[in-house]
Amino acid sequence: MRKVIAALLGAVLIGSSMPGLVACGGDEEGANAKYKYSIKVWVGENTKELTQKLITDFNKTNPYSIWFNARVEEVTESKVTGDILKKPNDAPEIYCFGQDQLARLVSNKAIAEPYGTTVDELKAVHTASSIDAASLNGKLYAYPLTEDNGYFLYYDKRVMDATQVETVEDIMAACRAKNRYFSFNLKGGWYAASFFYAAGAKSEWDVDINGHFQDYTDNFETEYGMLGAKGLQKVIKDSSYLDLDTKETGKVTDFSEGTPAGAVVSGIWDYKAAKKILGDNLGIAPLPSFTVDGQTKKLASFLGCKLLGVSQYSDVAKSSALEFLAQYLTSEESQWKRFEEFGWRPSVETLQSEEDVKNHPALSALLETATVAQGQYPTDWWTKVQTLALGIKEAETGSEVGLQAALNQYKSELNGLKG
Amino acid sequence: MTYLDSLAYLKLSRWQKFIYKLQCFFVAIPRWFATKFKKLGRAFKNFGIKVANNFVDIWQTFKNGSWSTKVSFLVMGFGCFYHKQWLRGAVFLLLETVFILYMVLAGAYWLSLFGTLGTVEQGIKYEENPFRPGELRPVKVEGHDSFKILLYGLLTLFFIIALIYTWRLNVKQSRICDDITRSGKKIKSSKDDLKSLLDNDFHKTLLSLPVAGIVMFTVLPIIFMVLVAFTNYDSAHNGHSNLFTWVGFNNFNSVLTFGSGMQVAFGEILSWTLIWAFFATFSCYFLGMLVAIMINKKGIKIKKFWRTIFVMTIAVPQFISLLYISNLFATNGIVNAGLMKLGWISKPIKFWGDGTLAKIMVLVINVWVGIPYLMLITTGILMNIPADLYESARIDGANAFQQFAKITLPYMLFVTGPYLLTSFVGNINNFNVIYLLTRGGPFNASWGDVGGYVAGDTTILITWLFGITTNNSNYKMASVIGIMIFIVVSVLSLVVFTIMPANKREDDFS
Repeated sequence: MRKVIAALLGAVLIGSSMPGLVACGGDEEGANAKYKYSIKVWVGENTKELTQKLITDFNKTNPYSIWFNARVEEVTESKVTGDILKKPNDAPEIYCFGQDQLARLVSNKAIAEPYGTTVDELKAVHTASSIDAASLNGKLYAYPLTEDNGYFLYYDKRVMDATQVETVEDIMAACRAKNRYFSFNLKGGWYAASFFYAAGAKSEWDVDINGHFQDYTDNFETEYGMLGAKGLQKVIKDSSYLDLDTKETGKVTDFSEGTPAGAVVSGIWDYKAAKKILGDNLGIAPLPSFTVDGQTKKLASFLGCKLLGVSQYSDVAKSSALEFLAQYLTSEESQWKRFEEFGWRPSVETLQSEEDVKNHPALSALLETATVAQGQYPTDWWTKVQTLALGIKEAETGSEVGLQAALNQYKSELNGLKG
Repeated sequence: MTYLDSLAYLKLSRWQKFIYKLQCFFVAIPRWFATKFKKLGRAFKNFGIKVANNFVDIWQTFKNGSWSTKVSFLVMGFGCFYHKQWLRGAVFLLLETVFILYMVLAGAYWLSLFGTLGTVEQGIKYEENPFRPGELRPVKVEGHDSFKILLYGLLTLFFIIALIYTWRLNVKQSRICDDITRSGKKIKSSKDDLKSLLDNDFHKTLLSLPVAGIVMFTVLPIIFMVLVAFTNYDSAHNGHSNLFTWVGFNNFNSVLTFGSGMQVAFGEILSWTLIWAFFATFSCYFLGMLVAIMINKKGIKIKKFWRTIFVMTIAVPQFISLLYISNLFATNGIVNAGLMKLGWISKPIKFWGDGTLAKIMVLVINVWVGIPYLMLITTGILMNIPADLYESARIDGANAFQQFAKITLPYMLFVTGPYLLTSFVGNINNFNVIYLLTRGGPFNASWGDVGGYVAGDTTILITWLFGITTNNSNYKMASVIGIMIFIVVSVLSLVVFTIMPANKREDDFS
């Protein structure tokens, strides 16, 4: 008996040392289709249902007898590339991502370019700027999904009125008066950069055909950068600036915290949530301006696209079929549905001039904000700007020496990002 | 220094005795290390002798063995077959065949690439598009996969070692058979072998599968991870589309080169990790004990109620309470809002914004989540201390503190010594409390980004490791840090374990 127990224990030991196995399955349809594939699709938050519906439509309407058995999963767009590269063998067939990740995907050969007539068809439908965003050195790699990836101001009408949202000084004064916060994620590179671009500083990176960063033009350490640094410091050191230190700020949920925010800088993805929290008290405005050393500069937002990418496969039929699906998911029809449901601004030229799109309150605020077409940056560049923002916060208020040191430190590390 | 005899020692004043003991302690350290090194040297020497003996033995077997033994040097199991040990022979032969087949079909391929970790990168070729006849389109051509090469190459090495061991067994068996035949005794038959597997050799039956499982699922991954530290496996070289390769000690150099950003950050993060682990362990330990003593005290009413209150914190999953507290004390959280509404403070207290304050906060909150466990553990032990010890102490006139210091504490330390050590190690790797409360912040610019991750004042090694793998896929540095954590933890454990009271004989206590 004892031996049996011992043997059982041994078996348990082995069992516990093995990783768990997960079963999965899909529904069996499209039995008559000639080309049938089971695929995984990664889409942005909240869009799973719509995507699933669009794929079903594609299955029914495509003339090539293609049927996709798709498993649609929601992901955070900014993390897609990292996740794909971590498990290259388990990558999704089709995925959405922010345009700043394109170079990394290309350099890691994780994206298949649209080819032949498809390229011409895409170029005919989408705006030139979105095609640009989906291209590297003039070569089209991805399918434009939206053209709205930027940020603007959400505010609480009970805290400030429309005349007080034109400058950061007014916004912060209104917040201080009502004991509220100004929430702006200045410790994130994507947002902090707005001060430097507003002041006329630039950081531009050249990418070669393989997606490797060759060289850069960057003048953050000049007087333009200094102006931006002073502006950033003015905001980040203000008592009304919401500095969570350990977490990201700039989320509309800050409107509902213990001490609520009076104004939040965020993007179109937060529109529904903001409306839900503030209701009729929600105000939306373009980014404000800031004044340092007697100069007034209007804050600029990056404006980029969300793109759809397709993984590379050695099966030529599968590659082509995926190309058709990606094209369908970014078509005029699909983009209009996405606009109607989530307010995502289409990248299709004819849709952008629709009255509904033009008059959408959040989208119009974004378009009135001075925008900078977002180029390609090395992944670590965002971390460098983040460190720069921390350095500016730690520097003594108004001390040009401290600010210059932070800027020089940033500049000295750029060479390490090449390659 | 000169060592005093007992009489001279007793003449010293209390203060002098303390100084003397301290001196002895420090003087003894080099000797302690010297003995350890000597032991290590002896262990190496013994190992060398053992290996050499094996070779001698193999040679002797070959020289003196029968012809069947000589053949079994090449054809494994031949000696056993010759002596009619069919089962053993079959097993040896099967293993050799399987090994040769494996090496020819796959092993040789993986092993040949192991030195470079791959040379062919993923490429592209053009094929006709079935949906648009006449149009060529690019498709992928698979290249090498460094990750697989490293893994399967390592596996192949394991198989080779296993085969060498089996081969050695096979040689030994043949020799034993020779010896037995010479002495005229009967050789064990296959039936005997099978019987002994359920009897004398039952441990082999029982342990063979678990051992194989542990080697495959525990030992192999650990060695794999250690090997990663010697490659350039990171976000730019994911091994699939951009191959990674061996870089020797480069990664260790960047952590250990004095004055480099990595080294400074590593030093500071390591020292905070140790400080954190020390205070987190002992604050919970002593305060938990204190609570248990207070609840156990005679005259305290509704003991069960007090215990239940403390145990309640265990009932809520730790990560929920930690996330909740983190938000509670945020700059815009309820605590600050409440205090301001009451008019006690005019501007929010930045609980997580100031390095020192954040460190104190995590320690205090860790006490809050840690005390209940300690209270439960110590309650049981406290009840076990014989009451007559306290009674006689009281008769001798000892006060409460003396009773604690001379009876309770030594008893507790004796029983909970191993627990203290494991909880210290656990706190070195206490990811939950740090990450869920502060994520390692407040982040600061002084170190820049280390390994592609901006570290902060409360960052400990394990959260740093988490940051650089999830933010930046910097596996090579993560592996180096992992190895460093292992070294720190194992050295500390060994040292503490040897000097711990629980490791001594029970007679020493009391």
